Amino acid sequence: MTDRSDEQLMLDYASGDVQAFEELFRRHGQKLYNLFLRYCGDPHLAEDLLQECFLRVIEARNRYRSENAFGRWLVTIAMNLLRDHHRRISRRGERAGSETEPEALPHHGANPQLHLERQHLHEAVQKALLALPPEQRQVILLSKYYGFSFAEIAAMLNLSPAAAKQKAYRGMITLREKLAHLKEHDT
Amino acid sequence: MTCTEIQQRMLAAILEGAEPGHDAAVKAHLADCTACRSALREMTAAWQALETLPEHPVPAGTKRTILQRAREAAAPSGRALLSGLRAWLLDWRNPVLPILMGLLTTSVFALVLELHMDLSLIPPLGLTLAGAMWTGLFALVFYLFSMGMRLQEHSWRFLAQTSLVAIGIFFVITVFSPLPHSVRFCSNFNLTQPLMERLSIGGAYFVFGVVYALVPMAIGAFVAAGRYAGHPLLRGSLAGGVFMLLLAPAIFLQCAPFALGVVLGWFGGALLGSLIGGALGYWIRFRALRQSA
Repeated sequence: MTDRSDEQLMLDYASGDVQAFEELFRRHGQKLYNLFLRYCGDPHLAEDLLQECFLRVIEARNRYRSENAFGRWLVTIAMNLLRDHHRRISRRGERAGSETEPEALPHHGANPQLHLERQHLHEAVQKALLALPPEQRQVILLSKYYGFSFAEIAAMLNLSPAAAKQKAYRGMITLREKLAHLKEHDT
Repeated sequence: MTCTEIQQRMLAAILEGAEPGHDAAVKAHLADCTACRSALREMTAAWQALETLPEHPVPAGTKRTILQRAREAAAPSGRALLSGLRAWLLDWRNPVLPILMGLLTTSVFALVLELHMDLSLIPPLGLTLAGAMWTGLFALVFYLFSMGMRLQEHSWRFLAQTSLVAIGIFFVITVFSPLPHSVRFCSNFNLTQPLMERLSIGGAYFVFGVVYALVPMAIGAFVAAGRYAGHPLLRGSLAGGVFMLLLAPAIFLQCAPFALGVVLGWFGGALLGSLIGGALGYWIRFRALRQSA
């Protein structure tokens, strides 16, 4: 644990302090992994994306400037990575993540019935997320899990704030339709 | 308001983390509209459903690979050390580069002065103090410049840029025509001799001091003023003040063999020339830009 800010940690890592990077990874690794996971629904792809994202951070360490908030900088790299991923997929004519079935992740619980119900809910939510177009999914995830404002999201995705908001609205309308069958007590 | 408009408002509130029912128009509409009440339930449920997705830890293998790569990249190698040094030097908060630049500039300028006068006339302590002071002043101005660049503080950048350009021009003029040489030449030149006789030696240094500061400062302020707008008198004279600080050690080093009247005349003239030159150069450029706009 350290009191150093993310920005200071990144500068320290650029100067050779490996522990600073470990601390940054401790602070941001899991959150980013889950963002990728929710985005693509595939744990193996999420691992690859996380690895690629932090490798880009490592490569760019000497170009990092502390005026850029580290969290936003990291997520911007992640979003660029997702864009590149989609380009690659469309070039190869493969199916995008949004069309794949979400993979089940291991769960631990004492009550098998409750576990099954939860599993069913998670799969429904993940499937609904994957049904969204990539940019709508990104805006919804960044707003929900990172709490970024639409202006911040717009800057990260190279959109206008109004366009980011519009994508969030459309995404929410689709989510609402897809999840309308869920009863309130399920959530 | 239509149901579509109400539902858009409710969505906006949910996305921004607000309570949709707090909006008076929405509240009034919901009281009578079953469809919108049901829509609100569904929207809230969909948004809350996203919270139910569990958090998963990063798989140990992935974590190990990433941290291993971070360690390998940070391991010192010739190239990494060099780029680390470069990043450290260029960090605007680091004063080492401005100090080095200050030392370099002072050394070059001292060398220029040495070519035209005998610096050994100044006692070693005075020489050391003047050199240290000059280095410090240059370092401060270079630091101000890099800070202004990085923080987009145009006023600081203007002060530093103007005074650095002006001191550069002053030294170019000094190489070709040192001020004491000019005074001596005018005192012996037929056309200017009567005027120079009327002025005392202190007065002559005052007049030349004004010209030798005004011209570089006016050019410096003219060059740097393009990016900035407003307050020509204030900004120009402030930049003139900074230039005067950089100029003072140069005058001190050149004045050592002279009488007090000459020293005071030169300092007074340089101060006046710096302030007028700064304001004048800035004002001319400012006015030209305003007219062309």
